[in-house]
Formats: sequence, structure tokens, C-alpha cells
Amino acid sequence: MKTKRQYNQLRQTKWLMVMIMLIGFLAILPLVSAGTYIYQENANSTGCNADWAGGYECVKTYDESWTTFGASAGTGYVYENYTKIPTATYAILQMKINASAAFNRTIPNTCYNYDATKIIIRGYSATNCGYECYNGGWVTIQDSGGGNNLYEDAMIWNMTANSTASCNFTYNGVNNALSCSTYNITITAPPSSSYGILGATNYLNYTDNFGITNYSVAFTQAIPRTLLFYNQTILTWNWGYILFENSQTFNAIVYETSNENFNLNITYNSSAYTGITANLIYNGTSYAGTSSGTGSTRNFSRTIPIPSISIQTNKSFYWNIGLTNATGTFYYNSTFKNQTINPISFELCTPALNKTYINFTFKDESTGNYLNASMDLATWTYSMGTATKSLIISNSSENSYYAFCFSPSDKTITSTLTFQYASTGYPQRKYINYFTLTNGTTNKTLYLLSSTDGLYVTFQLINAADQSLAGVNVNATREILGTTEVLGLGTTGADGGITLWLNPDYVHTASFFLFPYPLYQVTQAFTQASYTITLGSAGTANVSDYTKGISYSVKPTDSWLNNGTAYSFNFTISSTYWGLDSYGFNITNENGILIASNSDTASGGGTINSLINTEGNQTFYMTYYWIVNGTITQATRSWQILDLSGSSFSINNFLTDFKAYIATGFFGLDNFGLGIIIFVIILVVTGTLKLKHGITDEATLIGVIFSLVALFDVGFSLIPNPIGAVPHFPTIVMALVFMGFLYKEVFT
Amino acid sequence: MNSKGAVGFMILMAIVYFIAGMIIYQFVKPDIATARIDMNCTAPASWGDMTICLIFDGIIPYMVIGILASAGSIVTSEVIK
Repeated sequence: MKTKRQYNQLRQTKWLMVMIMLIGFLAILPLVSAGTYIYQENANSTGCNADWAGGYECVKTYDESWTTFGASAGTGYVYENYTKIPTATYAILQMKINASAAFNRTIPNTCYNYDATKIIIRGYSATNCGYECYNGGWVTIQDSGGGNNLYEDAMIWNMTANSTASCNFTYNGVNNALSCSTYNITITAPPSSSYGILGATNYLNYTDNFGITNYSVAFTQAIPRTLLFYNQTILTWNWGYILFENSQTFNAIVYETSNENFNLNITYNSSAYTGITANLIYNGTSYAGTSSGTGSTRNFSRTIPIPSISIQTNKSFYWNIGLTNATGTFYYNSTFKNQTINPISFELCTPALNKTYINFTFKDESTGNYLNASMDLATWTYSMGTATKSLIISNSSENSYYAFCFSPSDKTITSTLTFQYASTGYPQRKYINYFTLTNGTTNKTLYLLSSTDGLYVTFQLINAADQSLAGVNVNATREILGTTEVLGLGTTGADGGITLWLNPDYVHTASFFLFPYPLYQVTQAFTQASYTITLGSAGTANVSDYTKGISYSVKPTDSWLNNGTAYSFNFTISSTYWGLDSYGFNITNENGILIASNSDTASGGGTINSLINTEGNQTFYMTYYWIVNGTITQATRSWQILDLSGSSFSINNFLTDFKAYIATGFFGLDNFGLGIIIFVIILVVTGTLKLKHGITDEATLIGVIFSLVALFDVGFSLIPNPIGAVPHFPTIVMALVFMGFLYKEVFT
Repeated sequence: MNSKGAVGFMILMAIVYFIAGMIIYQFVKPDIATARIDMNCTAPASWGDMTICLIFDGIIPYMVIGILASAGSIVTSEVIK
């Protein structure tokens, strides 16, 4: 229990503490209620008279350097106006004169209030130096009392906060509020959804907490921006952008069927988003863009076929950009662009369409005289790129020429033509060919044979089993004036026969091709009405002798190819026993038309290569051969040409990448190693089926093995084929074994 | 429900399951495409990158095969009963 004395001491102590707190509060109160200061280094306007000494010019008094000074041999004046900051209560002039440290002097109220918008200051350098302010007359603020080195001055404004700062963030005309505090504008990040900016000028509008009107800073690019407040840097803010569309590149005017490239260059926030994709949306179709570049600036490009149109058309397109982060993928659209598509025209020439691309004339095959002929049917498929247009035309009257013109006349087109033509007294003939046409006119002479000079020659195509072969591509050529001309072509019908109108007086070369038979050629004068051709007969070559010491490979190794894609067709041969006279390959398409050929004469063999675009063909047949001692040995390889656009997520894509990686030595694997792995897989699967599921029937197990071999060989093209064997040899062998076991099961 | 009705019902369920699966796997495709781009699968720098790219390539086929197998198992399990 406290005594009375202790109680009194405690009460005194409490009052003492209260007094101390009160005094302390009163002491800091001026500080709490004191205004905030804004420092302004440079006056808003300056001017000098001419009376300043050389080397100590007037400019040195306001060059922002507190170590340089101006001085006058006479009386030099520097005039400075400081624009008053609204809601500032008073101002302090900080100055440095002679070698003193900088010090402050309050601007007298008469000078401060003299002008509503500015404070007028004058520095002087004469016998002494100092600063004056103007209140109707010059009032001395500070004089040096000696020495005339005038260094520098600055203004300090005393501000009192009287309103709440407000900031808003505007993009595409939509305001978003931000929070600000004190006069130092603090920019907090706007909602991320407001960062989608493409091709627009975006503004950050803010006011300080003194009610000063809006400042506006434009953001059009992804670069840091500095926010200033009365020429003082408040902060440097890295614009929290998502992405900026830097540029789009495309041809504004294009032609239908051409292939056009579209480019998009964008900068995106690569710190906030880890993935970016861009799809070109053109004519309602989405085309994935190919990305290039690293970091935050990316370029997307895509080449697409321009669709066919009938009249000049404007197409609108844009890029759909997907940005991915941990929360998901967000999509933004680029600015919409317009492209004008102009039509192309390929017709018989007219006064309006007068740039001849190809001109057909006709000659008598025997006499070489020019003829008039009718165009019974001409079917053109033409294109400037990938998409095609067709022209089907006929003219029953006989003309000396048919000229075809194209518009626009400065472009190159690829085309396919099937041309059936005839003349009075001359049976109809058919001509098929590919052309690459330009405005440098291509002249083509087609030959007709008089009904009195020719002979219908029927070729009957059979195989070694005397079975008629339908679908054999046949053409007959003859050299006329040093040029090999195709005088008849077609395909055998269901009866295996085809009839050509040929001149029996001249030697022709007839070529017969049907996969998987090797190309068969006969060179002679065809004087009889019919000939029987056996494909696959031994008479074409003595294969067994001239394969000794021969090893070769053919590429591409895939069973099928993509359309519209260039591939390198490669034939590599090595001969360790025979000296090769020559070797090479021919590539024909499904119509038997020669696409490319290549050859070489190195006696030990070598590699020959042709880069060929599959374009619109459906099948390529490569007949590769080597000639030893005048004897040709040949074989054939084929590829189906497929349109596999849209297969980028399929097993096909997996296999394509896998084979590409194997070719680069994926984990040191080569074809032999891959074959071993496939063998092990087949062994394990079959063994598992037997042991786990109790499948003991031999035919069933062989059927499983056959299925797996077919899958890896035909489906995936992963099993290497033995050299010199027919394509898919492992599958064929397993099929024979499987059928043997089936026969044994059924009939024994 | 008798066995015939059960089989028919399971076929319908399998169809619904298949359609749902076909819709759902579409959402994975953009991520696969993004992953391929970021891994630079057209020219991987290392065997590890090649392996990862092959895994990416196999995801969609694996999902599709799984959806097909699951839908088929729903039907066959009822039919075999």
C-alpha cells in the first residue's frame, strides 16, 4: 500500500510526463503543419545585358553548375523570371555568391505578391554582387559586401497540400483510377486487363495533390517514360505494357492465286508472359504465324495463298495474338488492315488482253508445213502461287494459231495444259504439259499427222502373268528438227490397250510406265497395227549381273510427301566392282510427264541431287538407273503427295520430328540402332501377349508381328529397307509368312 | 433397364465421353504450340531438348488415343457382359 508521499510523487511524475508530451507535440506541430517544398533549379526565363567579362559570361550564372561563376568588369545583370506555382505560399531564393556556400533568403512578400504569375529576380555583378527582386522597383535580397563572383541561384517553393491528388490512367478513351499520395505521384499498377494496347496512343493523366491541372504523358512505345513535375523528375516509370504493335508488313495490292507474305512485329512484356503466339486471320481462316527473334520483340510471319475472286475485292485481316502466363492464355487482336485483291485473267488474246504468254501453232509432222487446226478442247489450270484457276475453252473453227494472254502482264504463272487439237484430214491428237509462263512469249508447235501418212498403233500392255494392265501411262516421242516431241500420250483402259496415231516411217520412242514396274521404253518404227508390251519382263535388263558391287540409296526416305513443298531428290550410288558408264534418275508424275531428270558419269558412282517442288502433283515416280557396258539397270521408287496441312498435332508430326532428330544423331542412334530398337519392341509386345494373355496360336502371334512390322514400316517408315529390295520389303516378307501360317491353320 | 437398354445407354455415354474429350483436348493445343516454339523444336540444341520436343509432339496423340480407348472400353465392357 502506497504512502501519501509515494502517492504524491507518482501524481507529480504523471503530470510531468503529460507536460513533456505536450511540449513535444507543440514543438513538432510547426513541423507537421509546415509546407512541402519544391525545388526549382532553373528560372523559367533568363536574360542578360552585355557587360560581362570574357571567360566569366552571364550564362555561367544559370548553367546549373554551382562551381562556375559569372563576373563583370562593369555592371552585369542577369534577369530571371520564376513562374509562380499555384498554391505555393512563399518562395525562398537559394544563392551562391563569391566563394561562400549556398544559402537561402526568403523572397519579400512585396516582391512575391507584385505579379500574379511570376517572381522577377535580378542578379548583378559590379563592385559587389548579389540578387534583387522587383516590387515596382528593385529591392535587394542579398548583397555580397565585396567580390563580384555571381555563381548560381535556385528557387524553393513552399507548398501546402490542400487537395487530394488524383490520377487516372486512360487508354483507348477509357479512364481507370489510380491511387496517388503526396505530391510525389505514386503510380500503382492499373488492372492488368487494362494493359492491352495495340497501335493506340495511350495516356497517363495525373494531377498532384495541390490541384494542379492534368499532366498527360503519351505512351506509344514500350520504352520507359519519365514523369516530370515542374521540370523535376518525380519518377521514371516503366510502362506496364502488355504488348505493342510495332509494325505490320504486307502488300496492299495483290493478285488472286499468288502467295503473299504477312509480317507482324510486336513487343510484348516477356517478363509477365512466358509464351506468345500469333495467328493471321485472313478471310475467316486462321494461319499460324512463324515466330522469329528472341526477347521481348518478336516477328511473326506467314505466307498464305490468296483466294480466287471474280472482281476486285478488299479483304480485311488481322493477327490474333495469344500471350500465356501462369494464369492462362490471353488473346488480343492487332489493328485491322485491308488488302486489295485484283483478279487475274488468262484467256485467248484480245485487243484488251494483249500480252501473249504462249502461242500454239500447228505443223504437219511429215512435211513440216504449217497447218490450221481446231482447238477441240483446251483445259488450263494456272496459278501465280498455290491456289489455282481453270480455263476450259474450245474452238471448232480451224486457225493457224492460238495465242493465250495473261493479265497482269508482268507476272509469272505456272500452268498445266491438256490440249486436244485436230484438223481436216488429220486425226485428233492430245498434248499435256506443264508450263512456267512469262510475258516473254513461249512458242509451241504442235504436230498433226495426215490420215494418209499415219497408222493407228495399238499397244496392249500385259504383265508377266499375261494379265492386262490398266492405267499404264504411255507416250510416244520422236525427234523432229532436233527436238524431242511428244506425238501421242494417254493411259491404257481397262482392257490394257491404248491406240496412238503414229507415222510408221519414222522411229519413235514409246515409254510405258506403271508403278511398281520399271519404266519400259521401246525405240523403233511402229509399222504394225498392234504391239504387245509386257511390263516387268526380264528382257529389259540383266539385273542380277550388274548389281554386283553396287550399293545405292534414294531420298527422300518418306513414303509420302507434302504438296506444294520443295524436296531434295537424291540418288547416291557406289560401285566397287563395275565401272559405271553413267547413272541418273528420272522423275515423272501420275500422268507420266517428266518432271526432272539428272545424271552423272563418274565411274565409281556418286550423288546426284535435284530440288523439286511437288506443286499440285499427286504422285512422283523416280526411275533410277545405272548403265554398265551399255546395259541399263533400273528400278523405281514412288511417293504419294498428300495435302497434310493441319496435321501439326498429329502422330505424323511426332514421326517427322523423330526422323529429323535421328538424322542428326539423336542419342547417337543411326538407322541400324533404330532397327534394333524396333525389333526389341516387336519382340517384347509379342512376348507379352503370349505370356500375359496366353495367346499360343502361332498364326495369331505371326499376325501380331506382321501388324507391328507393317505399322513401323509402311505407317511410320522407320524400318530401314534392304539395299536393292522392293519398297517395304520387311512388310512383304512378313505378309508372306503370315499367309503361310494361315494356310497351315486352315488347310492342315 | 434390361441388357439391351444398358448397351444402348453405354453407347450414348461413350459418344458423350468422346465428344467431351474431343472438345477438351483442343484447349491443350495452344500450350503445346507455345511450348514447341519456346523449346525451338525445329532445331533443338541438345538431346534433352529433342526428347522434350518429342514428348510435346506425343501429348495430343496420346490424349486422342486415350479418349478413343476409354470411349471404346465403355462400350465393350457392357457388350462383353
